[in-house]
Amino acid sequence: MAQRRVVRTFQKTNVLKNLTVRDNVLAAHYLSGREPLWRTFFAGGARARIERDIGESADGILSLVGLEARRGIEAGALSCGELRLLEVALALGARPRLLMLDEPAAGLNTHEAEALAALLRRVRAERVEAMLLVEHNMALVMSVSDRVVVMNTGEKLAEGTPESVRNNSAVRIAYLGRVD
Amino acid sequence: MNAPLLELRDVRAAYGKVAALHGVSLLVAQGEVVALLGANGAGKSTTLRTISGLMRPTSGAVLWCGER
Repeated sequence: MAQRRVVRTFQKTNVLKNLTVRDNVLAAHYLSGREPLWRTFFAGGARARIERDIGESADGILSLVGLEARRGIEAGALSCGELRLLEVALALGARPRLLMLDEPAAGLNTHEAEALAALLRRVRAERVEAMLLVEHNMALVMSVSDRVVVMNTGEKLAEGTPESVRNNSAVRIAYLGRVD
Repeated sequence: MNAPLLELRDVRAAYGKVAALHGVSLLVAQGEVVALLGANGAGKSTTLRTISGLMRPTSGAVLWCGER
């Protein structure tokens, strides 16, 4: 599926904490197979062009996710909210067509979750063809999703617009009711 | 009409003998944001694992642009 440009993030962050923020995003470009690493062993103009293109792409992504000012620090020094933004940046390095996010708002406060929602709307508009989001933060789900699929014990319980799902009594009993 | 970007057709998956997905069907169309909601153990992460190929469905199909 990765070859079809389906990229996912994980609940546990996967960043390389001893590398700088920018180097993490550069590494994501290579590790995704977008540019074969062996090509960088060739001397001369081709290598310089590849490195320049990847550098420009990484800087564009860092600007998009709002980590431009943090590009030179080690990823291990980022806050929880910034780490989540970096996770999205790493995923974008692979130029996904479908971006799958597994609980991207886990551990975020309300302000950070709102910033993440704004970022995901920009990502959807500018960078990916579609997104599939697993998330418990209802405000985030309601603000970025076109459609919500509610699952319960391995089955689909309900499906519809965020508003219709929120008002579905079976969903409220099985899931939403517990968090109210 | 174009095929959806991603389609799950009656996907079943299991961890050993423990069934985790009992026939999940799902469409993600071009330009769409779809959210999966559910309590722990609902099958959300297993669904992502089958889509990304980390887990093979025991039956059903995962289609990308209409193809397996």
